[in-house]
Amino acid sequence: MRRVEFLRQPLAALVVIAVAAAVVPEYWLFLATSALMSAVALLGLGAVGRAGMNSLCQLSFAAVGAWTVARLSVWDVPGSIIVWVVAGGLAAMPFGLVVGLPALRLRGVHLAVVTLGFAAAADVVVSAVNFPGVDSYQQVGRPGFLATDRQYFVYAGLVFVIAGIGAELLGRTRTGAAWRAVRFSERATAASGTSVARAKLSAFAASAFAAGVAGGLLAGQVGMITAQNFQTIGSLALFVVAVMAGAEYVGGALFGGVLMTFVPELFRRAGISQDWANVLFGAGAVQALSQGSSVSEGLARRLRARRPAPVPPPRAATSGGEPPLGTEPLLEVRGLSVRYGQVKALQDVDLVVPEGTVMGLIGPNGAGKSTLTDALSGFIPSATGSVTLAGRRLDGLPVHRRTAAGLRRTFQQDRVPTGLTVGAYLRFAAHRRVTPAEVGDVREFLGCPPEDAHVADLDVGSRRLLEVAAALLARPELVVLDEPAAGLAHAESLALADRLVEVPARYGASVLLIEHDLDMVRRACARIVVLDFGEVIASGPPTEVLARPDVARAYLGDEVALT
Amino acid sequence: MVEGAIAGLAGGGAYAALGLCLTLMFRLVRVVNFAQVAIGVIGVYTMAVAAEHGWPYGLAALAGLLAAVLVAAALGWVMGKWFGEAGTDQRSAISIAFLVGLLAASYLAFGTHPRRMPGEFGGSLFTVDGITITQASAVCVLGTVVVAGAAWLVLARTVLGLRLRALSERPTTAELHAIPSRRLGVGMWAVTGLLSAAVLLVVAPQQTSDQTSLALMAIPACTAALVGGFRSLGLTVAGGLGLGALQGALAHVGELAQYRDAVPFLAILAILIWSQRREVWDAAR
Repeated sequence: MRRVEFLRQPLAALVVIAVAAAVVPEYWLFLATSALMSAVALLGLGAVGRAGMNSLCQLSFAAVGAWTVARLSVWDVPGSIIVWVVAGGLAAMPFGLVVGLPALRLRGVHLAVVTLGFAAAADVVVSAVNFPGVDSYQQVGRPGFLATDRQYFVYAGLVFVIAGIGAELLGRTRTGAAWRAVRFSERATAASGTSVARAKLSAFAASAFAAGVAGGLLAGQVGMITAQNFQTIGSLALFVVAVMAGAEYVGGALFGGVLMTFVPELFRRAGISQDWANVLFGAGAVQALSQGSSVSEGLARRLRARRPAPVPPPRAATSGGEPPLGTEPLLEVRGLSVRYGQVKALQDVDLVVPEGTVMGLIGPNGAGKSTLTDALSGFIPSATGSVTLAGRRLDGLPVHRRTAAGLRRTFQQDRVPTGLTVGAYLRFAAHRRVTPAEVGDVREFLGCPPEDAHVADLDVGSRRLLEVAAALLARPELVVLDEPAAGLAHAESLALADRLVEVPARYGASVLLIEHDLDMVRRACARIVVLDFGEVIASGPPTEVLARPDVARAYLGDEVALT
Repeated sequence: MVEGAIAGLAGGGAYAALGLCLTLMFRLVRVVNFAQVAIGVIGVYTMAVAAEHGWPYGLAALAGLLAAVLVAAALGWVMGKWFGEAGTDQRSAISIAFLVGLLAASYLAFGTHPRRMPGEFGGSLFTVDGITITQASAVCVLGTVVVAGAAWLVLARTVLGLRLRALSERPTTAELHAIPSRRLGVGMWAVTGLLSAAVLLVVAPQQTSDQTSLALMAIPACTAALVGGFRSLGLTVAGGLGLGALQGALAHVGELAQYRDAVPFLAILAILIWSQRREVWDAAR
């Protein structure tokens, strides 16, 4: 059923292409071919945009594709323009990777400046280096079956449909989900076991590939290309149209391509200067940004609003029984220290979390609980001391590798990417192949919304539970929950506590629970550890530890402890 | 080489002054204004058209400056009205839309052919050891240093500067302290717009450039601002002058001459990677 639905749009597109090729005059088909090429380049911008990055050098990548096609044509390499165009895309990919490299350190406007600088530099190089075949007036060759503009339009249409299907399929893979996750939060992406570097670079590579293909198509369409075709200002206009139309959607990319080609043409026919088109696009992009969504995104949102997500059944309050104590040590932390300048955030923390237990970590604000979580999960490379999980040293490993080794964490802040559905997020964050039954099971266990609900539509409490569900679905050895009950009502916190008690037996994971809600901690934890000013001041069974005067003093101040 | 480097100082002074505008805009109204130079383009082309209609140079230049101020203030008003709470990234994306729109508007208003630009600073000032210092270089370099000094004085020593800094760091808190944020924002746009136009009035007559290549001087200007990390006025000036001198020097190295305009990219890359080498995560926690 889903497959039929998925194929409906490409099939409709093929029908439109066939009908257009049969009835529309050749002049308009030539323009439509240009629109399709812009649409392919816009699809590439959409890939980078999905990952939350701005690229202002799309036409530079297109120039690489066009250059490659011209070169292969001059050499008369077998396979005709069909193979050459693919080769053009592939040739642009390494350039995408190179421009993507700075993105590993830079984000936002700094990255935009780099890509703009690259576009300007590419402009200079492209103007200096002639395209192959230009000096000898040698056109890019087209085989007999693509000789006319009508035939070439069909070819461009097919390329766009394939590119669109590719973009759509890629969006459903883990890579596609990783792009959306990176856009929302790099930290959470790494903490769910995905390499942020790989996600960003793959987005740039995909983007460059699409641009290279578009450039190759252009070379085939016009036969003789010059540096004029790929100027910086063109890349900027493409970016502006992408913002306006919403190139993250295949339909948006097509709409953008149509705008870029036909709006100037319509102005020309009406006797109005074509420059009005760019004024219009600039205003459109400003309008889109002021609305917070592109044309396509606004449409998609409106369509979605008509189908509100069903409310999940209330979480049943069943007692999980006594918290299991656990025996064998699973996580061993020795002498863990973190300093921020002169501030000692953690001092020589020793901590052992046994296998198969729920352990609590409490302490007043600023005690170092979140710093400990960050240090355990690898976000603080300057931390000293040792962390061992199930006998394996984790020191020096980057975040996503620690996650892969079985240490999962959640965040105090809301870090569930809003661009995904519940099901897509769970499957992405699980970071392993999961069956629909497993997804359903963990959703039911924690009372999460249905799979087709959009994360953007959920309240904060549901998002926190979803994050916990994703962590459990990954089947880690240890899951560190950083205040999972923030945003939940008191009764729901207690229900969550009951569920956490069941986690070791049900999912084979130990839990380290960081929480301010002491009722929840008492209910869920077999043992607790108290942190104050970066040091462990007490540990043991909850009732015993919470009764100690030094713990009360740490929490409530001296006066209370004295009374 | 040395001759080339000194010749490059005219361009370098322009990069530095435009970079100053970008740094001030980034610091005070949280935007990397890619349209900064395009605003100046409107000014300088207005001047050219007025001069063609027989206006005396001084009056034409004034008209150009006024046009740039009005355009900049209008854009600043749009930014303040609709994107007052938006982050730097979004505001900068909007400035790209401004750039594309402004350039098209400029082609609509002034046509696509490069115009003859009357200018006041065409001649040479003096010659030492066969190296000529042009008036344009001298005006650019001195003007930039003066503007940087004045901006520093205003920001560091006056109530207006204090308000502007408060506005940039905590816009909402500043408004709660009765600082008129939108008006000051529009004022910043207008002042930097004026400055951009003034720079182009000096530089544009020295080169035969169309609107687009003039407007894309924003790229070397960005490089200059990056040297100062979009914060330091002094380093921005040094960065701009250094970049201009480097480009000028490269123009005299046979094989590299045609690639000298690619220098900003390499400079951007090197500076950014060095300055951001330790920042890894997108959020502090």
